[in-house]
Amino acid sequence: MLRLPVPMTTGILLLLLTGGSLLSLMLGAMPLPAIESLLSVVDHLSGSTMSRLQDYQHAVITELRLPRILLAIMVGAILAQCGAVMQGLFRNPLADPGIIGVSSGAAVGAVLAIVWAPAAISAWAVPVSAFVCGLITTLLIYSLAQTRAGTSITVLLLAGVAITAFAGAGIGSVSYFANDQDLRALSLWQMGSLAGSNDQNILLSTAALILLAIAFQKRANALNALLLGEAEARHLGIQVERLKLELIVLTAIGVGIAVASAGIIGFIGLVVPHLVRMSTGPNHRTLLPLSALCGAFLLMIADLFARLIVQPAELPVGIVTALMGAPFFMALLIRQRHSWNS
Amino acid sequence: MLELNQLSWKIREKTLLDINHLALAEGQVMGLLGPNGAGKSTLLKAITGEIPASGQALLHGKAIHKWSSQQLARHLAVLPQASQLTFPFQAKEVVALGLTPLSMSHEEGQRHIQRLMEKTDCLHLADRNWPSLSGGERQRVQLARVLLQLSQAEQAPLLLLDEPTSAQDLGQQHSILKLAVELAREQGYGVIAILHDLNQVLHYCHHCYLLKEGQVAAQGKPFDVLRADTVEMYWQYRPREITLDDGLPALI
Repeated sequence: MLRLPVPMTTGILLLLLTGGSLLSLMLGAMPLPAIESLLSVVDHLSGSTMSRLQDYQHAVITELRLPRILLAIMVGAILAQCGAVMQGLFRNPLADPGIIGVSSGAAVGAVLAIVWAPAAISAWAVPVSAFVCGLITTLLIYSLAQTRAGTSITVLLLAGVAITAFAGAGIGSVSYFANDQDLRALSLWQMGSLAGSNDQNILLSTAALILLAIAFQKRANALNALLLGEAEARHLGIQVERLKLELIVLTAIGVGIAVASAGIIGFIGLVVPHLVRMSTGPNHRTLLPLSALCGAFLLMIADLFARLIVQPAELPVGIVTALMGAPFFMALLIRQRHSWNS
Repeated sequence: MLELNQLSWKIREKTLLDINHLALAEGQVMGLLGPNGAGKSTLLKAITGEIPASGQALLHGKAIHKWSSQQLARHLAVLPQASQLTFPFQAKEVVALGLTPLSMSHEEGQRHIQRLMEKTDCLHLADRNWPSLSGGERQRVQLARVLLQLSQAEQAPLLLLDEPTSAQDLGQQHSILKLAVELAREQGYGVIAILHDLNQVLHYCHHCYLLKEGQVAAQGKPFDVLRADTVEMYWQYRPREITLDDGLPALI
């Protein structure tokens, strides 16, 4: 299979990301000119007054669109990296935080905190609770799917079905106790939405992305070795049990924070690593950073669509990613089903 | 270089492995033989520490579990029978995974990869995707990987081969075994190979161990161990002993 050079792919993705950001600033229920929108962002960051936009237009840029773009970039990058790592950890290209139920588990944690944590601490309680529940879910799924012959794909996917159903019931019963306002917020959030972007979750997800990107990159070679099989990785000097535990905790942090910030956004973690593998190969040293770039771009574009399709209203972005991702998942199934009959 | 004493492994009272003593010297190729289920693969796993066998396993006089994982990886490598790899790595990238425990510059690594892929006759596959390779091709790529892994050993390395010839065609079977003998002779490698073809043991191994029900049933020079009587006792088939033109013994 033909591969693209890594520098070229990086360049293309950076261009797409920049172009996509600019489009996301300009387009929406209120279209704004490109140069002025950019200047408005510069003004916002540097305190200058170069943009000739009206105050309310300036507010649309800096208070609505810019935070959403930033959150989309962070959450998209986190989800794509976590997807790539999970696929490596489970040695299975179908693992995705959404499909195997980790996102649902984290969502239960987040909902519990949204409804019951006191307002004063909810900014931290929601991500922490999402992380803890995400971690428990990952450990549960991992121990279920682990057999002597390796990771069982059937168990993995069925565990995902079971946990998603269970989480749905859990979230349903919790929302029974929520008031009307919380309820609408909950149901939107459950479908995945970047509308709740604020300084706090942008800061938190940026910090998480930096931490994860560094931690994952340090383990990229070990992840490559793990793809050969656990015994082989051990023979190559990798401390496999420790590596697995570290990766599980790290992905749970990533998924927990992504879910706490933006709800359940599926398929980014599944689709993005596949696209990157197809273009530059499965080596985690390049797969992980390129997935981050590609995930950031994809989620941002999905959010742009979510804002444009039914304007002036908007769709939850999770619906858009599912519309893009589900057919992709089906295509993967069709391509690989022959090899699964065993 | 390798010494096993009272190595045993039980699951619920059932003894799966019980090796009184086994020793391998530097520069020796040992054939590991036995009917199916005799404990050959289990023995390899006990040596690498994958199964928690009790007893003593020493590599260069030091208990294997006391080696640091990186040092051990530089001195002990296993060629697996098959691989779980499903991701589309190129063959040369799979070989490069052998660099994991090593520290060498990129250029030096690339030189080693090229040299070893040539040696294991898979250089022409370098750019091919793993899923498109045949079983035998994959095994030769993996062999290049494990040899790379041992290329910075400070003491004589131990190479464990789990059925290295099972997926190969006739010509490749012999070139792999010739390579094992050459590594032993020229670089002091200790090699243990699980083999099913008794003639390969007769022609390539310095020593052989015959396992049955987890125990050593017989051991010694292949020519002494592999007689028609012994073979019949363990495999329920009596071969004919013949002598080849060049004086080598063979069983047919």
